[in-house]
Amino acid sequence: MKFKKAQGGEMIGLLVIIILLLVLAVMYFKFSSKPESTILQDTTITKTSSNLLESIKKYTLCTGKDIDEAIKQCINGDGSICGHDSSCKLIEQEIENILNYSMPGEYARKSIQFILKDNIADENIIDISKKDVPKDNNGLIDCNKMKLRRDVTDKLVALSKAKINLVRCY
Amino acid sequence: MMEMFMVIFVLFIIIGLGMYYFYKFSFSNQQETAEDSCVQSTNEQLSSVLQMPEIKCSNYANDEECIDIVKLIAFKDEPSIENLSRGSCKKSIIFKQIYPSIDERYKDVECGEQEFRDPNFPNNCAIWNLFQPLEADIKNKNTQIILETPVSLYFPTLNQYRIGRLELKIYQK
Repeated sequence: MKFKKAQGGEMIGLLVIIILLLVLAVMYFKFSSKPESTILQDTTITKTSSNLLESIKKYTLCTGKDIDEAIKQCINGDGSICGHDSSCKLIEQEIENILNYSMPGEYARKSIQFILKDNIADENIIDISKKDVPKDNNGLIDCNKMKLRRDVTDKLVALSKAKINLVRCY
Repeated sequence: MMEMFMVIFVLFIIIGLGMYYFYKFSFSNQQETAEDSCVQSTNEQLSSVLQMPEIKCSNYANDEECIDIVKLIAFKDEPSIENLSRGSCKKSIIFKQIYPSIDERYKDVECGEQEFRDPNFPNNCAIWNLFQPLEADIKNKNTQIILETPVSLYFPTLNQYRIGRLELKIYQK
């Protein structure tokens, strides 16, 4: 009888230790798993967007003419440039190609948009994005519908009322 | 008595297993932290490489946001280039010409002095390997992480700006 009582006591002791260890393990894993930070991804997206906009502005269309100059011409009522009748049409065509070549994945996934805006009239002059992309009330890609976050990077074009925006979902 | 030995034995097994997994977990955690910090520092380098005066465009001492191709070709042979990839975080630094698109035949051709002197330049090559780690340093590192950003490439001989890409390729286990 005495032997049986002792056996029961040690078994309970063992059970208590195991339960204690299990509780500790569960608590450790619960508190050690931190939510993943998005800061690195956010800064990378902004940085690459800013670099792309800067590269687009500088891109040489023909001898002595860059996109920056074509944008100024387009925003001031259009005109011929580099042997093309419309500077706005040429910008549209070139930037579509640039997006397609430099961000092929995003362009195919319809998660990138370029906007040339008249900053004073608050009006979009050029909007380059895939045709069936969902947009919000401001005409920007609605990334929420794709369950993605949105980054909007803009740059002013010097000595003009133009502003260029790059909208990306990630 | 027998039960006590059994309890102590089981307890030792549990403690032993606990220690084994603790060390295993903390070791893999350390390795993960090292890899994360490598990615983070490389991500910072994505900006700093573009700001290097050795390759950055400048016009009468004024910096411009672009990469001067002639400077890039010259800088490739500088001994100080080793400083770009020190420590255990091994990476290669590559510039690529993206737009206007290059003929398929030349997409993998590296631009050296020979290509630079060719009258077809810059349509005869598309890659500038600024830095490549030694083969021995990346021998057992099979995972590659690529961080990239668009960049404006300036060709002074043509006075032309094109669209390129800076790629930092990290080699990890």
